[in-house]
Amino acid sequence: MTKLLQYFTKKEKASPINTLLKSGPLLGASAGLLVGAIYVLLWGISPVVFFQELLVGAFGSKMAIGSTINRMTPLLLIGTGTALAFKAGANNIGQEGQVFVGGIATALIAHSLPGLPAAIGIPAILLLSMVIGALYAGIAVLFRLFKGTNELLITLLLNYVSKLLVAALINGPLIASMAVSFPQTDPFGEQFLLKRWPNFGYMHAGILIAMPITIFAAYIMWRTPAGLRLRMVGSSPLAARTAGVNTKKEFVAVMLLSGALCGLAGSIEVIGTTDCLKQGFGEALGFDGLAVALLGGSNPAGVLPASLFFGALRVGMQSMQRSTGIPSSILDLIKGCIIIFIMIGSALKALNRFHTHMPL
Amino acid sequence: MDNAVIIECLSSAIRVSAPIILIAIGVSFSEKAGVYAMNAEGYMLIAAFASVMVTVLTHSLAWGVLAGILVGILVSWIYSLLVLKLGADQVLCGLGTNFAVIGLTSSLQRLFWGVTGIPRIPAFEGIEIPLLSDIPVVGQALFHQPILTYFTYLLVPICWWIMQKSTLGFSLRAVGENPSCADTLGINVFKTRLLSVLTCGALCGLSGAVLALQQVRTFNENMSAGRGWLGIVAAVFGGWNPLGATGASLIFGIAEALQLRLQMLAGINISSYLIQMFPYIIALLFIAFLGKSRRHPAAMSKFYKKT
Repeated sequence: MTKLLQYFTKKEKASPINTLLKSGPLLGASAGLLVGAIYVLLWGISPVVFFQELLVGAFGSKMAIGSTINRMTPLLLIGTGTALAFKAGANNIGQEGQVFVGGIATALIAHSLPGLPAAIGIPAILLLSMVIGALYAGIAVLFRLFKGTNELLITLLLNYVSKLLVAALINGPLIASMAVSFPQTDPFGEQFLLKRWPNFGYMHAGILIAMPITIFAAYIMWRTPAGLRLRMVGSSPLAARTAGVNTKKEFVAVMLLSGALCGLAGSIEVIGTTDCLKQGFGEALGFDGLAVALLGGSNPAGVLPASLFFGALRVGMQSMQRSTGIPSSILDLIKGCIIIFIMIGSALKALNRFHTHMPL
Repeated sequence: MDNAVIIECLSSAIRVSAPIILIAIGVSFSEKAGVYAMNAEGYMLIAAFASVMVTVLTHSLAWGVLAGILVGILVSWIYSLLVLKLGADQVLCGLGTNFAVIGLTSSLQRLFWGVTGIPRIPAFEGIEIPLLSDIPVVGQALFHQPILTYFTYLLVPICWWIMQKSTLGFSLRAVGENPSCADTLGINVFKTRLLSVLTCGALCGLSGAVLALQQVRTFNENMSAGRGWLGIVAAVFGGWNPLGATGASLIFGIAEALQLRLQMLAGINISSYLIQMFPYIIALLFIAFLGKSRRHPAAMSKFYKKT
């Protein structure tokens, strides 16, 4: 009898591996950074210098901090959108494409209605880019609803389509009137651009849009019935359906929402940073955002530090490329390793639980 | 269009299909056994890099091809450890491998060759098969190809036989549908899946070598450029059957060949970027007209642990 009681009240064993695994994403990020630090030995640069350069590059000056925040802004939005989708079990990996169509929508409005005042223009741009982003994600939703195809492949193929669409637009109908070395559109009207902080380089007002959205999303996810439904659908669709949740509706809503947030991120990047639509603007924003969502544990609250981390990583690597000549493409290696390490961590956790919870 | 253009078009369609066919078959093997192959793109890219590097070092194309295949197998082995031993998420591990490979290849390329670029490497030249290449129109298109193209098309029926007719293929499909049942029948689930993932890695590696040594003839940053994903779509559309996958890949190949030619033909004035969109649109249409009947193998992406 006491044994039985013990069995039911027994808490998970506090083995060292268990406590280690609790901080899975943190561990993943450190392991990924470590891989990068060891990898740069090939260039004859010691790991210490690597971390030093990274920190100085990302936080060393007002300009550096501004760049980090600038990079963090769209990542917050993309990370939040992706986290919502992943939490609900929707496999949206088309962030890249949704960011691009958001940028396209922005350029179209800014160039077709140049007379719009800022008070109407900026909200209109942000709203339309959200709608377009949601519609773009909606293509995958249609496939899922009517054909039962997994949204993975569709969203991924749409990435390539929209990337080429940007290229077609900026080399064709929207090409800059003055000759520039890099294909891009004309700069937008002054009134459409987000205000920059003085002395902080590229840091712009977009953070004041992105940060509240992320916090609000965290509130929704953890403190409202809608959030509960979303988490239920993700962790066990069957149980959710039994409890009366319309899983189809949840799926559609969360996909459109994540598309909308990615579109918004693209728009903010365009009117905040580049001031025009250019080829491959935002440099791998979409997949960085995906990594942010995973590093944040598919939780908007975790996306906050995760986006700061990836923003700092990108800015730090770029400054390192300037100062030491190490190609910043190492970032992709670090990103991939972080994702893989996080996945290993969660797999180990599942296996671990599997062992400890087996009766007898 | 005169004959020369048609021949040129057909011949290049057959040539550019080869890498996609190899990927599609590889992915078929992996996914039929119930393991996602989201990293086909990564296998291809790193194999392309390895084959170019080894060819530059040894001046031998044969070693280059071998290196491509071996590297493909190596990466797929690492992936299989994560996915089959630990049960890590297949989709995200696949994507993670892709990112890591992009970072690895483009940084190593800079490290070894700097900004000067890669020295010219020898490349596979077309081989004419006597008699057959004398057939009008078709002969020149089909039988004047580099050696790896012939090899690719030779692999198609072999792979089809392995998958659909052999005992190995049977256990592979069983493992993909119902691993615990297969286990009861005495099929080693882990080994079968491992074998299928390694086959996928080898084929994708070969495809990277074909792309680098036979088509592009050098290494560019991120040169696989979405071919891996087209290969995956081709595999899905072909029902994970090597023959069907080959058919679907050929359509992509034709689209790519047309894309190269369309710009040269007079009177057509479309943005080249819109033309490049062609294969992806076709891929989406493929999936749109697929019908609900084409379901995944039942145990797709499910981790199986022997108890």
